Amino acid sequence: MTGLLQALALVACAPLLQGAMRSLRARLAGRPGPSLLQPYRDLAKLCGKEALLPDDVSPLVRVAPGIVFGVALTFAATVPFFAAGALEATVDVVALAFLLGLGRFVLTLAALDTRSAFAGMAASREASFGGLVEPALLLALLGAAVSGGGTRFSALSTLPLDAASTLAFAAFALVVLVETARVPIDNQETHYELTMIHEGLLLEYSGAQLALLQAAAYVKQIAFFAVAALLLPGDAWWAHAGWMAALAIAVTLVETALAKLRLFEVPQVLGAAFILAATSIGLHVVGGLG
Amino acid sequence: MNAFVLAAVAAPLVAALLPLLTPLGQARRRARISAALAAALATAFVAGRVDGLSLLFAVLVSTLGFLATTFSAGGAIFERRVGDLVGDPEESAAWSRVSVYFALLGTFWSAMLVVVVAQNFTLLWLGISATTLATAFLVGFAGEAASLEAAWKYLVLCSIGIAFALLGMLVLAHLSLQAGIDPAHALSWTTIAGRAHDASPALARLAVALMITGFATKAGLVPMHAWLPDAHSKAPAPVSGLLSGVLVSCALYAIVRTLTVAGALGVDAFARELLLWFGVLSTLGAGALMLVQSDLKRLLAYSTVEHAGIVALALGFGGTFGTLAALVHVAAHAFAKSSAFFAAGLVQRERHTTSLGQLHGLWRSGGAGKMLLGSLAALGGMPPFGIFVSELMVVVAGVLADRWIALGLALAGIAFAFAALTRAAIDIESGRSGKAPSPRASILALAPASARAAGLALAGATAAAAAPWSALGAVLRSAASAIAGSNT
Amino acid sequence: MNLEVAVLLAGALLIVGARTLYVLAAYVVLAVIASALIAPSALVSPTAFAIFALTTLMKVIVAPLGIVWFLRENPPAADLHPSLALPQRLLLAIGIAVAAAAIAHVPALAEIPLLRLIAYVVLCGIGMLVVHRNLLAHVIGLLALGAGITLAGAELAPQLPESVELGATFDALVGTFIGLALVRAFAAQNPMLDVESLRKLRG
Repeated sequence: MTGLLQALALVACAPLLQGAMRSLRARLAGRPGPSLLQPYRDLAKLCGKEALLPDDVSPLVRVAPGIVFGVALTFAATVPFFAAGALEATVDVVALAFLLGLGRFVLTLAALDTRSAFAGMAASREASFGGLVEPALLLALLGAAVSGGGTRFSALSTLPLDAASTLAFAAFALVVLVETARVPIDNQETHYELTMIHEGLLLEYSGAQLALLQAAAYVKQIAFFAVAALLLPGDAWWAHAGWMAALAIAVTLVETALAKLRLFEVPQVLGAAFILAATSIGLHVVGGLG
Repeated sequence: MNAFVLAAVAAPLVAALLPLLTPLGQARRRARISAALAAALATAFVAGRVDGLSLLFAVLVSTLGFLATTFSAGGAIFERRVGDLVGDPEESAAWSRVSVYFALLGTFWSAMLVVVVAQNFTLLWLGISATTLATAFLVGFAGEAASLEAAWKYLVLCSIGIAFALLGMLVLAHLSLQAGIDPAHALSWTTIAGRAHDASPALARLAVALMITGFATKAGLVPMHAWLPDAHSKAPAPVSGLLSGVLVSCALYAIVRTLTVAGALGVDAFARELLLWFGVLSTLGAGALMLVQSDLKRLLAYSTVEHAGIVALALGFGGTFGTLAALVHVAAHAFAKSSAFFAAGLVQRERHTTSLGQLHGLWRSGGAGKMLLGSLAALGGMPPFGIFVSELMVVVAGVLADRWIALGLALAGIAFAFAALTRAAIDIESGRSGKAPSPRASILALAPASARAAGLALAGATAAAAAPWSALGAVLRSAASAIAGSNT
Repeated sequence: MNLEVAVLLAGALLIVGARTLYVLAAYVVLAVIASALIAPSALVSPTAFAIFALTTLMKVIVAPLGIVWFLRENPPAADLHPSLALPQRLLLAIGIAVAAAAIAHVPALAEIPLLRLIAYVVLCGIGMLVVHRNLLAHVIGLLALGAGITLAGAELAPQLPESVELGATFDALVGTFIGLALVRAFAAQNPMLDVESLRKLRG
């Protein structure tokens, strides 16, 4: 019961987090920016509009938003915040990584299927980056799992302050940047379709389907932050909340300070994340042997 | 350091700067040559104050330093620009590029003297560092992109090498401090050799390996030779001659001193084994690479690697005979190689190219071609030149040391080198150049050549004799026993 | 412990860094640590202290300032253009840390204190020389090598501070002044300071 409440709370607060980050980014850029509740209004507006799709797309395209939102919900229901997650016993770290991969896979296929040029470009980029980031995500979470002593989220707790955990967390931080489509990998506020990655996948959607996809992105974001807060010091829920706020501010600062990487430089950063995560696992293995 | 020794060491630098007081032109040229002669003669001051090995190398350094300075004063330093090749290359300013060149050359010469007369490793290392400093500018003197890159590569690789040598020296200092030697003498080889050591073999091996590898980088042994072909081929001819002939010899001198210390620390066999395999690698590798060279100066540079390998091989074989062979080879090679480079410089000045494909008919077109042929024959190991004798001695040393495989591989390398040199010699000397014979190069530029020929003959004769009554032979013998005495 | 972490991060930044200023900052950290470690043994006599003060000034202040001044005159040199991509550089840095730890585990060498740090800094200096094609990076790499040697001297032969400092000074001298002079001559012909043709000059 508390698990379900927790999942609902996370889902409800997700647009607020997005709004806060967007607001802060605007303030840092010298603009007044939209209000913190704007994402709620946007979602509500979208739900009232008509959902149009090209006539001869496959059923996958119509079903994709639902699947992606389902994945995001599962993520939110797994992560512990002030209590254990509702699906905590079913979904562990490995399953989560694969579920996220499923979401990306379905969305990419759907974007390809709409036969839109920009969506196709975005799909190819998402797929190539996904191929690099998923192993990094899995290894980073496994690194944390080794420290915690189990792959279920209930076993994950504050990471010890040693080399392996630092590397794992660094890798995880990079992965969060990629998965939440933040600068320096992707710019959510761009208007140029040629440069879009995550936004590009959503180009052909409208109405309630687009609302589902955007909500899924927000929920994924807050869940990732919750996982990161889990790994940082402090066990109480307010410590987690504090860390999430701090991480949101940090990510926004990074977004403001850095420029978007050129496309072919992104695999380098992702490769670096993978190496960091692999090294952390290697250090665990060596430490276990020694 | 003793005042006389200091005077001898500082003399070349003074000799480089004094001629600036004379007026430009023929007077300054003559002043440069006489000053260089005085500096070379001043080296005699060190006799009796340093041991035989240092004396031998000091004489070598000064003789070749004098010859290189004379050759440079003769006017063949700027090969690439046609305009200042004839007549007096001095510019009108009092402190010109040419003066900088001679100042650097004097610094180089002095630094090498520091290396060979130093009584401890610290001073020796500082001397080698100073040579790196001076020669970096000399290698890049032509100012073209290729020369600058060669100078840069030289600087970086040799700095890494001597940094490793310094690390080895620090471990050595640690060991001698452990043995109770007081800090002021911790790196003096006589003190180290005179004390019984209880050093851990691993640390001793580490020290010796680091030092040998570091100095071997400076000597151009494979696999640390990457800087040598570029640096020696892009430098002006007299500088190449000094680099190949003398600087490499000084690096080998440092290795010899390390061997005495290794003997005292009890890791003598390990040190010799290391040197042996460096030698084999260098001989074989350089010999093979010589077969595919298309540039004359690069060919000569690889030949330097080859001969440095032979010296390392001889030192690796060990024993009195091996050490004697190494020293004779160093002396003979120094003369032969610098003679070859000077001749190549003259050829480059006449023909404006050193590419083997474009050089033909040198035999008919003036003295430089004949001198080049003589030097190439000497380098290939033909009798009656000194290298023939020393290579024979190296083979005997190898047989005495019972190292057949190493000897066989090295001989294969030497055979490749001989083939490459012969083919190059035949290619460039025979045929017709299609040009009228060029005006004779100035006597001044050729005079060192005949001195070199005399030196080659002398080295050969001396090595063949090694008779007790020959002064140089006595020096050689005392030097050899100084090293070989501390090991079997 | 904190010393080790600082050295670890500084050395990693030396190899992984792609902007000259970051790499220079990492070098300054290493030079300061090395000088601090050798300071106690340099206080024994006035000459030793004089040499120590002079060399520390050169390594920690003059050399970095010289490089910063050079950057002002040659803005294209601010970007190092490493020849290896980021993942490979990261892997190299990790490999060097592993190698240094392995060297320190050799039982015969166990009597050398701080061997792990010494090996790490020396290998990082050499790694920098291998990874970068930029001449400035080579200069900083040589300087870092000098810092490693100072560190080694502080641990191996503390009674000989003059020798160690003189040695390291020469490395710094060679690295900075000669290096910058040659770099200047090179930059006049090639503003990007790239020595990619160095690879063609292989023997």
